[in-house]
Amino acid sequence: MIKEIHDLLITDTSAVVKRAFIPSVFKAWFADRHWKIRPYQQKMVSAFVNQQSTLLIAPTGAGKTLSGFLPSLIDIHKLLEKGKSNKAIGLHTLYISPLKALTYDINRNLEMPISEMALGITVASRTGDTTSYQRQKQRKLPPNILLTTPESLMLMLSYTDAARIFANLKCVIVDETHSFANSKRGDFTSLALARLYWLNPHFIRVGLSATVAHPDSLAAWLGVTGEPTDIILAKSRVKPRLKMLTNKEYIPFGGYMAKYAKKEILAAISKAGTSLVFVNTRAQAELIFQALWEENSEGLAIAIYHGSLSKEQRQKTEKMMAAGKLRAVVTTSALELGIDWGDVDLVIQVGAPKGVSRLMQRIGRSNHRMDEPSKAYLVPANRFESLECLAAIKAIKKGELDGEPPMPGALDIIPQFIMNCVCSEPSDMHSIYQQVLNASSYSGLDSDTFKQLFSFTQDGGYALQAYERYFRLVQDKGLYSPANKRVIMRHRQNIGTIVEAGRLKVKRLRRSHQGKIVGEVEEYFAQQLCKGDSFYFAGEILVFEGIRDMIVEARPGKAKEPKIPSFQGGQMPLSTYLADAVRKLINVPESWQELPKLVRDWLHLQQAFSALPSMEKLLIEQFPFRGAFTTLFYTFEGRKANQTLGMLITRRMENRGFKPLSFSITDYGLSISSVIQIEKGHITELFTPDILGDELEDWMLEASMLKRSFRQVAVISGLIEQQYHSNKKTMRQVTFSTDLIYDTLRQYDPDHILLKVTRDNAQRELLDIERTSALLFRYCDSFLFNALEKPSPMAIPIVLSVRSELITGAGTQALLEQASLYQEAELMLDDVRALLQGD
Amino acid sequence: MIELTALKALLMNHQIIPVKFAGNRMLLDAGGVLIWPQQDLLIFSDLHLEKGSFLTQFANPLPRFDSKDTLKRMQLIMARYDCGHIVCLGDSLHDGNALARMQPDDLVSLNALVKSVPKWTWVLGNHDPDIPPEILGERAPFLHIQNLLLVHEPEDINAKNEKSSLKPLLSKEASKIEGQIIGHYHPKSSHRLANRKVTGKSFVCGDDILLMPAFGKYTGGLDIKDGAFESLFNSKKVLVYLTYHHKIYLFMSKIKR
Repeated sequence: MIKEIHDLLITDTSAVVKRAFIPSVFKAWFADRHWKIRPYQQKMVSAFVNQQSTLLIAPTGAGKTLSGFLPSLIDIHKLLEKGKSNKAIGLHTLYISPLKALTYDINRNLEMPISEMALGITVASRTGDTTSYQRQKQRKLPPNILLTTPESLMLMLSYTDAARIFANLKCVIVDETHSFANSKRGDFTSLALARLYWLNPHFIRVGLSATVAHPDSLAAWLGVTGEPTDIILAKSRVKPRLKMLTNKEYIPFGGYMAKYAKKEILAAISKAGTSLVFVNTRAQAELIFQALWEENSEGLAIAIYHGSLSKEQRQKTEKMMAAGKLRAVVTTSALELGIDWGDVDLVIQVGAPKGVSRLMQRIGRSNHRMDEPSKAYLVPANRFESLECLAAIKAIKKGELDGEPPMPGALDIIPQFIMNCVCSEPSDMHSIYQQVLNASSYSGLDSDTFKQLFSFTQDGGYALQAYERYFRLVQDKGLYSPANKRVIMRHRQNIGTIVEAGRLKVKRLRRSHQGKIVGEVEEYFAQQLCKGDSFYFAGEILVFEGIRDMIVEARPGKAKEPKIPSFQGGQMPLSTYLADAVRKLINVPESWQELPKLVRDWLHLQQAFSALPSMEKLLIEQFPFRGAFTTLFYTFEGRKANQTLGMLITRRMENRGFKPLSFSITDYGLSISSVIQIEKGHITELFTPDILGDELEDWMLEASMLKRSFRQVAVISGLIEQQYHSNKKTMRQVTFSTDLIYDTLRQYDPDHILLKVTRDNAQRELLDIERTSALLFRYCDSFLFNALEKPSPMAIPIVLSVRSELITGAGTQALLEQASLYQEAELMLDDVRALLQGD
Repeated sequence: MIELTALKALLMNHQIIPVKFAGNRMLLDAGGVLIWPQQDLLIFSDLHLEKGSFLTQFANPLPRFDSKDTLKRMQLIMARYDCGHIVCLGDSLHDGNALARMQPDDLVSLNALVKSVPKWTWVLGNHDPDIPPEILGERAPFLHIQNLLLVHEPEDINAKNEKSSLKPLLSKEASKIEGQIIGHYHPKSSHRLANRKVTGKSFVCGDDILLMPAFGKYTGGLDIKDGAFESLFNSKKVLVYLTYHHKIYLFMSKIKR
């Protein structure tokens, strides 16, 4: 301790000075550009000098990135001036970003000031795409600034030289912090930071974030447990200019595709310089892109961008964007984060925004000058969505943001983390537990749960079994290490939290079986295709030929009604704030003036035909639809609560013989389809607030949703491996459904930790039991039941919703009986009789 | 053999379906087994015992309860039908070291099952490892009963040339083979109903070949639309018996050719 202070005083006097000193070479560089060093940038430099971790919250275009690096550049420059070599300085600053593309852009952008000021600072990036040659170089001689992703960082931490590489670390910059926290990736990153802290506690954390509803939680997330970072808030004085854009003659009732407004969107693109057209799902991207090109008689340069396109495709588009060659890009959230490119002067949000904060972040992509208002248009996909758009516009005018409260860290990542630590060096259980507790998301993890997760990591943690030969970790005097090389390799190949549904690559054929890989589609989608079916992909129409060697082969062609590949994870949940705001909007007819006339007409129609959902009573409508009875509950509680409610009610219906077939949810309501008609008198018992303990476990554990949750957990915790379509022989043998594993666990080891993790995971990602209970309590006696002859105007968007949760109960049995050759089997009664008599 | 009234109940409840294959009357059970009442015979296929423990050798910490579960289901089905002759149609053990990894009490359960019936035959596929002597029961490369051949992988029974590996082994007294019951392919099928797809392990029945689904707990399935099934059937249309949540349903299906 004393030695440290001594060293500080002698060698690093700048650390004792409170005021930040900006070297003249930097001042000159700023002056050359006619840039002023902003007050918060100055504060950032002071913070570094005082070794104070900080969260910078600033709207986009505020020179955030530069603010993040400025303190590091200044500090490294000072060290170089003092005569230290690059090698002696070592890895000074680590930059973490959620996107690979972002790290490359930042790399390019840093080179500019570094070379122009001749600073001599070494910079490199490390991601999944970095070649092994580059990686070797970086490990031998770490750059002063390393740009990387959370997964690559975790991988680096798994090597035995991690302590050496990070020994000189002074600063960790986490970019786009708002996008990390409250997600599994955030928890993952939080653990990586905790590990770094364990290796070397002398670095500060710098977070760069867009405006958020709860800056305090974010600061707490970024810091070590119990030590939230400081917050610097750089507010924009100017609010964005928002408008709703629709087709005056026609707005659809339902559906999610905003094709109807294609002319209006194109006109807006034509008037602007460069536009970003945001959609919510990849399928929407393909469709809107096609629709725009149908109208694009001017031949404006419009491109498409989303995560399922191949790397080459995406890089091509990125380059053209940066060079200012595009008039518009139709994109998903893949382009939500990132540095400012060119002159985006218009953002068009197609489809309801789902969240105010999210919308703000997207709008922030337009216009990178802080003092000028950003411009954005909202295009609702149907009449219901126009309510959401208006609610969002009002919220932004008022300056209100939404945000979910922080959740405790996801448990399925812990086994991955444990494995990561022991791959780097032999460790004892207790010290790993300490590291986990230092990650702010996991400060509340109890030691029993941790021990169970550790036991799982060690050998699967199964009751009834203890074979030494299946240990993944071996112990020597209390220190654990990986059992063999295979365990280490398997871990390193599967680091991360992004679990994707089985995907197949798409090959665009030119000649026989030759062609280029243009991206991926989900296996589920590919299995539905027959030869000759056509689908949209990467902006063109492809005709399906077949699947060969796990690759979808298709040829460009023409078709009347191509299918649209659907991708899992497309639907974002509506924030509860917006859901409430929409309900209020419906109940205040004065505010309808700001809605398009067609939407007002629709609301009036709803009022006349059925009723408007009120604030006090739950509106329930019932009507026959597609050969069954649909009962619709307008809850306005958001996706998660509606999903939970759906599962509970259909379970109760099943038990009472109503033969439910399926249910679908939107953010506003729940629609249940059943063979038997529910009547008004049945509602109270279906809405009983007493969710008895057993009933809860029962329906929760059986639901197919839990199986989906288990699949995620199985991959992330390391139970099974992610790569499903590897060519290795042994891998093919692993590819059986996780459902089978789940069933075995439930039957033979019901207390296994992974089942607890699965329930927790479902609660995080999919369900909301608390809200559902509150809902039941509020409405079980207070509802309005309307039996109608056909779907009401407000019901249409909900019943047309494509995704439904299927019930495998009596309803499905009924369908199977109908569909199967039951009658033929009946005709075989002769055979049956003969058989039975012959016995 | 099971009693008539019980059989009727299973039939009405969609748990079994009668089939006629090469003139023989049989029952298909939703659990994935075939019963031949006239021969007092019950067939399991593709048990893949110890597949779980095989996979855990590759650093996959999977639960290794699959054998236990497979044996439990076998016991329940055998109790229901009470047949005198049990046949396991190949791929019974996942690999050559399966026995070494098997839990002692599972081995005891297995042998208890074998001993509980008068006759137990392990049919061995071409690539099957030998069944170690610690496991009771008879072993055979195939069974030729009436006009049917019970074998793991399909044989070319119409081969004119004498080079067919099977020919010299066939009993000269038994009747001409008109159909084969085989395992190996782990068939599964999917069907569109209204707006959903239902998928499940299935029996597939053609004119002269009947495919059994895989019984093992950790066995998946190969969709019958896959090209591997192309060459097996004479005609395009086959009967597909879908097992789904403990029930069995009959569908007509088209095989790609």
